[in-house]
Amino acid sequence: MESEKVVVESPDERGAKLLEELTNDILMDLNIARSIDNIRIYVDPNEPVFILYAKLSISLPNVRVSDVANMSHTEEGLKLDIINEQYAFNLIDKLTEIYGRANILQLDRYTLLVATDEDIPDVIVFEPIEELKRKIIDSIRRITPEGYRIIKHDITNEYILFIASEEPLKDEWLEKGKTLIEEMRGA
Amino acid sequence: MLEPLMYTGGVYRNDELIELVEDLGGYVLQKNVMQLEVVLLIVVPFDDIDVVEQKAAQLLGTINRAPLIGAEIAVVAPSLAYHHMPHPTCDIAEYLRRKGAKTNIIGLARGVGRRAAQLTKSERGLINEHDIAVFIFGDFESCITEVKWELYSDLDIPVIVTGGPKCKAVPYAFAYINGIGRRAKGFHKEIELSTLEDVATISGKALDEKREELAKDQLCINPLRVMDEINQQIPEILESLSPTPITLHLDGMRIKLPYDEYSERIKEIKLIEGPYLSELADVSPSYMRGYIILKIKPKSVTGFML
Repeated sequence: MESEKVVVESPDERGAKLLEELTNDILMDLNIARSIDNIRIYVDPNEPVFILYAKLSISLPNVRVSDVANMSHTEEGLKLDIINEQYAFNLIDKLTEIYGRANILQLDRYTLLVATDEDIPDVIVFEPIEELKRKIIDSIRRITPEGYRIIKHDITNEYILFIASEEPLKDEWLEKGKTLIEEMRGA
Repeated sequence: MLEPLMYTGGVYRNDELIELVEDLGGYVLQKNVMQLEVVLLIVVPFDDIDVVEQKAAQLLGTINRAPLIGAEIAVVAPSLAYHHMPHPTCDIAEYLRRKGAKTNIIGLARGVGRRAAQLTKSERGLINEHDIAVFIFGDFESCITEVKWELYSDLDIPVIVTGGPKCKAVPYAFAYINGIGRRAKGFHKEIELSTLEDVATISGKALDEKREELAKDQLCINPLRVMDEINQQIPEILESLSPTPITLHLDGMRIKLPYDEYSERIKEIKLIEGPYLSELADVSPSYMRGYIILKIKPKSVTGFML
């Protein structure tokens, strides 16, 4: 099962096998093995270049204000009862952005007062996709050989393409990346 | 002939064992107290091991042979980033420590990659102060056999290289151990543990060769004896917070006191036979935190042996 998930191509076959094991271990460690799929790696230490393509299967909904707190109007202003404390910090951040710190008062752990008479627009307070992308990039940087510090990456909700080298990136490597994307789309 | 041993037991009455070792003419190299447990690194005369084992059994402790006692080993990784830490660098260092060695992990400033990999002057000096060095490399054969040897080729001490693939010949290395490479997990399986055991065995072999080399022109005084004299004549060493205030090398020691303040006093240590320590050993500043490095001169230089 694991061997289909990660395919490593390299002139150094033994090195490719070891890198495949390492990739599986790292993905497992960072708990993202389920949101990343079809990983294709091309690595050539003699060039030197490291190209990684992976399909992302992200299906996490965004968290909105209404998911985090219930609203009710009171004499003192708009009262927010926090129902999901996990995102309370992100909610306060968002409210501060909209109303300013001076207009927000946290009465206790689960209660917020906002100095406004109108309803709060149901905006996004937290995007799990962004957090996941950050984790994915972190894990790929762990997989990449350490000296490869010149990096070009392209990440969307569908795929990630990551090209790294020790030398300035060559056009042929970027081309190889593009063909990888097209190949995988065709598949 | 002194035998290196490790005692593990409770704190209660461990001083009885220390007294016994000293009465037998042995030495206590390190005492580590961890809450209620104590680990002692000791050397005792070969003929008296039974006596020490009996005493250890009486105190409900255990005695193990720790062949790497008395050596300081540098475990060198290309950097201290998560590509090498905590596995495998720390695992190897910890395993060697359990065999009695004093290990130091060294992360190089510019050790990564192929083109820019190099050793700075201070890094070279620092690694050369150790008895042997273990270099941790990665998964690609061409890197290990063609490029990375530039990091250790001009070191004066034996270098053991670890990496992932099987390599036929690794230039300038004392030995190459495969099956380690880059790892994201610990050493748990039998085969992985035996790889660690290999690192320890080959380290022991490298140290033995170095000992043989030293035996051809013997040191003019046993380093253990010098350690004892320093402990007695410079009591400040006992106030050092370091786990090993005096770290033994095969041909000398690292004394963890500031060189500027203490070097003169160390040179003026007088031995009961007459000579001063400065006649028997070279005292120089260490690359590590300005400590003191003491190298004992061979008999051919001093002309006498104590």
